[in-house]
Amino acid sequence: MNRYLHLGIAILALAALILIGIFGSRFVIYMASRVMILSIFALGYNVLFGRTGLLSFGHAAFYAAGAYGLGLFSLHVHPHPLAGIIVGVACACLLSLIIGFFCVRHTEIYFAMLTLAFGMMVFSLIWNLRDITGGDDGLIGIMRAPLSLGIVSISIIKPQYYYFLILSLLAVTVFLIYRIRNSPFGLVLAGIKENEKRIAFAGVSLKNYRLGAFVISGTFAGLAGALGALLERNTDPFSAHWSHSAEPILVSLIGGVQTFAGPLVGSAVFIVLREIIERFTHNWMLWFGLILLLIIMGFRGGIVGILSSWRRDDGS
Amino acid sequence: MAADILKIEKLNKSFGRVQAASDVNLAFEEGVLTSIIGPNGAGKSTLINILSGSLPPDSGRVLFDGNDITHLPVHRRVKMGLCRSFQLVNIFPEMSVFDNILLPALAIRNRTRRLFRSISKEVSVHAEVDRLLERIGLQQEARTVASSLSHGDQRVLEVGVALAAKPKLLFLDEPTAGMNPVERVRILENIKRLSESRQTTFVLVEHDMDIVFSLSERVIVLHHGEVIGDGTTEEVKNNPRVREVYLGEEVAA
Repeated sequence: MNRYLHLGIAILALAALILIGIFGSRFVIYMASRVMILSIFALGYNVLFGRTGLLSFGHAAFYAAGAYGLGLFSLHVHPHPLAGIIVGVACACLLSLIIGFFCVRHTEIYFAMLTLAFGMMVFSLIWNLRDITGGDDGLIGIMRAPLSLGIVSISIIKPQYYYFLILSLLAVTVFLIYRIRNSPFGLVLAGIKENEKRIAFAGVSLKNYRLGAFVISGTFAGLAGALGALLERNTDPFSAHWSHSAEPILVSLIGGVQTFAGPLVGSAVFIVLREIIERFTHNWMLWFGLILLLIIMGFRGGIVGILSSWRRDDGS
Repeated sequence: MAADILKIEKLNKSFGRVQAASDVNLAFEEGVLTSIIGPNGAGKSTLINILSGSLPPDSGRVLFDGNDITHLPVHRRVKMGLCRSFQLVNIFPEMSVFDNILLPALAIRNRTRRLFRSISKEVSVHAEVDRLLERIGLQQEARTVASSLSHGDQRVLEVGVALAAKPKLLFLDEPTAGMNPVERVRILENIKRLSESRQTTFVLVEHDMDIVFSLSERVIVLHHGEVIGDGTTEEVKNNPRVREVYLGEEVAA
């Protein structure tokens, strides 16, 4: 019964997103695109944060690796969007493998600080290597060239068309992360979070599995970054800034760290709320902070966590 | 005579001035249920920690199945078949009882690298977990969250998690501490049966002398990091040195 309910909600959400894509105004489509990109970022991040119990402050670096990987490839090599996305994702994967290699040897605050340090290094590299990255201007003029697959060629130049590319990649992400969560690998990650002392005595190499989770989350951050760069048609050096690393953390907390759908719901709440508040006041951070405070203190377990615990109380 | 499954050569370990293991030479035979006893601070825990890989020795060698494992990390030793349980409950508290057993059972079969395969498809491992749960008497609790079990049942699960890794040699650190008599009998029968079927060689660290003397085929007595007695229960009971430092009146009476 539970399973059908989840499937039902997923189909409804997908239908809603398709309807938005068909009938939404330009602005709504742009906002929904940003929600979906943040969702991909946060879903991947939560494999590390919610599932494995590791708090990273450096994932903006992988987001930026995806964005700049795509940008450089598309400006200098070939503008094909899919090839660019693959290059961006590969860059993020490689970077997270390198950085993760050093970080996963440590836990808790040491791990968090190391990821922060690496993230800051990546940011300052992007900021200072003007010739390659464009410095504070970022890479500009990234084209959304047609998506040519052999004989068919799909234009993604219109935001509405591009929206559907993001939507399909979000669907792929949801599917993959769902599979990972329910795989033997996912069980080991949960075991690491629960009791990292015991996990080695179950015959599992703690470091390797932590690294695995780190690379998975970094890779999806790269996918989000590549899609973000295509959406804005430029890259922003601040996408590598550590403050950007806080976004998937906040989003997961709002939606529910322990839930699968938490990052999705959290992304929608985060972006819509921020947009609404920004219309009324320049001090959006103050008001946003207050609302966050309420959500985190009042809804422990996040929005999705609270909803599903209500349902459980009713049901049984 | 059976082959030695574990061999320890000239093992030394000290913490500051405290000698927790001094020139320990021991060999554990396959299938011989052995107990390690000794007063508090005798170095029993240190010895287990060194053998299972949590602590590096200062000097000496550890050979398992003929391979030098002195410097291998814990998880590699577990994969080779050397595992331990803990004196304090050390399980995965928020997982179901079933998943607690499933995790090591999957890991030992190298199935945990499967990233995109649904866990519900690991049918053969599931059947294995069900069998183990039935054996340790927790099949009714399979779906229960581990932390909501009674303390005794958590202790039983603790031993179960260690058994799920299908070890050839298993160190049990006070396996029956905190269990009620029923649970105790169940676990001891399990240990006895597994030991007799020669699947697993058990090494117990125990305080309860009734258990030690009723179960063990061999008893090793540690004192200040040294082996002061080693032999059958009768031999150890009659060893004057052992009586002097440890057993004292209890056995003499």
